[in-house]
Amino acid sequence: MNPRWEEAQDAFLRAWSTIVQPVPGGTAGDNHAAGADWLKAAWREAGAGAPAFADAYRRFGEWLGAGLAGSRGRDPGELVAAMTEELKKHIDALLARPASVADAGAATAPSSPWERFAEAFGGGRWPPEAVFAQTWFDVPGYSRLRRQWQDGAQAWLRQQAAAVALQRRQLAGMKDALDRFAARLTADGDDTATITSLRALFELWIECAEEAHQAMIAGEDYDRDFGAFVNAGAALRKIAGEAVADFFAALDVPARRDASPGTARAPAGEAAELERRLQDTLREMAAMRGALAAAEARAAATRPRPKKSKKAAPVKKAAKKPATARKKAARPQEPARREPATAARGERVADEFDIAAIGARRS
Amino acid sequence: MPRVRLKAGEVARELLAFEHRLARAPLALAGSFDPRTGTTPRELVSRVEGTALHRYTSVRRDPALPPLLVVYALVNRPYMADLMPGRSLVAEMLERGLDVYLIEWGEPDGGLTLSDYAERYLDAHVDAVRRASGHAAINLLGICQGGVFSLCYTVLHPEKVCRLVTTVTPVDFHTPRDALSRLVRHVDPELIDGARGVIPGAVLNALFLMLKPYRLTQLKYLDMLEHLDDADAMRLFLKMERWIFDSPPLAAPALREFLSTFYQGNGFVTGRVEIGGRAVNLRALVTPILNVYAKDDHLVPPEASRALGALVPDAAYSEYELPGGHIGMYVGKSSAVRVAETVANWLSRR
Repeated sequence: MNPRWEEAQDAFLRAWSTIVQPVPGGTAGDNHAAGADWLKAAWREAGAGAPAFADAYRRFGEWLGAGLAGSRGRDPGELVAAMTEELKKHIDALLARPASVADAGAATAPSSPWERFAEAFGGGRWPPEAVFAQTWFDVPGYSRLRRQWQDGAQAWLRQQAAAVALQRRQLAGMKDALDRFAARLTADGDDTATITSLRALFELWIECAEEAHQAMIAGEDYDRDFGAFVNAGAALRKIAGEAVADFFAALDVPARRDASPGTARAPAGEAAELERRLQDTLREMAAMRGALAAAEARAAATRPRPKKSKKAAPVKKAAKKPATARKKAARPQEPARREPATAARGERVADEFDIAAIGARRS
Repeated sequence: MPRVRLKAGEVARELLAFEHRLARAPLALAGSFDPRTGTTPRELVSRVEGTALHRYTSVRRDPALPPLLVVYALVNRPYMADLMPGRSLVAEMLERGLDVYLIEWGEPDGGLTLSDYAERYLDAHVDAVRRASGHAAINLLGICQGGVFSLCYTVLHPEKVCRLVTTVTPVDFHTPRDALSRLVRHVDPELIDGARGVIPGAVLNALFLMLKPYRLTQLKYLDMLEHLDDADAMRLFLKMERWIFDSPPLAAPALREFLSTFYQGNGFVTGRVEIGGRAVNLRALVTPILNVYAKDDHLVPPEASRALGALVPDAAYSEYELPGGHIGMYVGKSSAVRVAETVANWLSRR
């Protein structure tokens, strides 16, 4: 039993009771209505991150429209520089968003139901993964299924956190690219060529962006964040795979873990033995076909020729048999034709030997 | 003086021309599509499980010269060194009298390990070439990861390898400019797994794109639009696109081992490579080696390849630097000729 469980449960219930109280400053009502409001708000805000992004995109669209409308008659260099500056401001705004309440300091009051919940339940820790990691996930799962849910939720939150951390690094890299671009746009001197086409401007952007990207991925921090992102995704995938397999097992449908023993590679020795037996069987079949064809050919050759008769039809039918036999006699050669013309018989036999030898080495 | 001097009329014309090209591109691309891969005639020599050994048809071979077995990386397809007429390293080597064989790795199953590739399959195919040619020892040419396999194999079976050519082969995986190595340094190999034990090739492709994302996902396609009227250039573009993105799936155990042993453990340098339970120490190599690397290789920086020289003190070691990048070495018109010439001359040297 987790000694912190009762404490965690108590904290959770207290947090829930806080949530279902009427929203401060909102319309007074009973607890049910407040709970419903909270659910609606939580659904709408989906973790409090979306409105800021949506707002940023809206403002970006407005800025782009206004910029295009106001670009008539402006110096193109000035216009590009202004656009670059504006993009940088947007990235700055995104980067300035606190990754946690601790980052933002006490001045940032919880604004969404999720944040109020986190504050009440987790003592102000935000984002919620910090809350869950330290309390919710310590609650005993009691069963494989619930443990799986806990593991899955934890893995999902870790993956989200890793993705956010990597995105923030990439945003910072993008800002560095814009800084470099802006600096090169205004650079003076003989070593800088004048840009007279959009294509050249775009190439300059690519050059700056690649420089910034190389600088970004050269840092140890980026490698760590990238590794954490890949690892978190792989861990989530693994847990989700196990959960899905359990679900299918409950429905009595075979999952990968049931199929794997059948599809996984057999030990090499076993594979070599199977290969050898297959080759033996193929050889036997070829020999049998050859013997059958030869016997049919002999039978056809020794069969007395039918006398000419007016009843020609049955005779003609009988005469077709040797022709069929001749066709069959040619069949054993068919596999050989499928083989590459230059793969000599000796080489094929050698390959068979080879396969057996490999099996012997492995077994 | 401000750097940007754009004139509204010229910008408008440029945008119009761009739209024009963009509209024509689908037709031009469709007209240039050629589904054939690998153009030099070849014959199947043998198969071992999912892998195959091919011999390229040659009009003139020097019977005194041991045959050359090409070993490419698991992330590629066999046509990687035989893209199209005029862009084929294989064809250029045949032209110079070499008897060229190639291992096709095929589609893996989920249980294959590094020792399956670098020892079991490679040894079986080397033996097949030896038998077919009558030479007791043959020449090996390893490409990128195939070069790593070839180095391991030559250490383990020096009696079967006459001379070894490594091309764009990473040896020191921890050089400062090795961005790919840095990116995967903190990836947990134990978490690498996929459906039926294989990792889709597209995952590796995405990783390669991340090394130069702006050039490889933006500028390259803009450049393509400039060549819509050049049928050969468009054909080459599409062939290259296929070359780059047509990666087979990779066996997860082999990938895990390669990641931990080489990218993370830098095994050749630290002396901690083990294939099939046997230690692989490059210092034991006495086989003559030609190491070819590309000056502007962003996947395998020159210094990552050139580190080989210091690790093989007892081998007759030569190196050759080519201009261009990792892929250009095989499909660049002049690069393929230069590589073939260099390799043929070196192998012919008595």
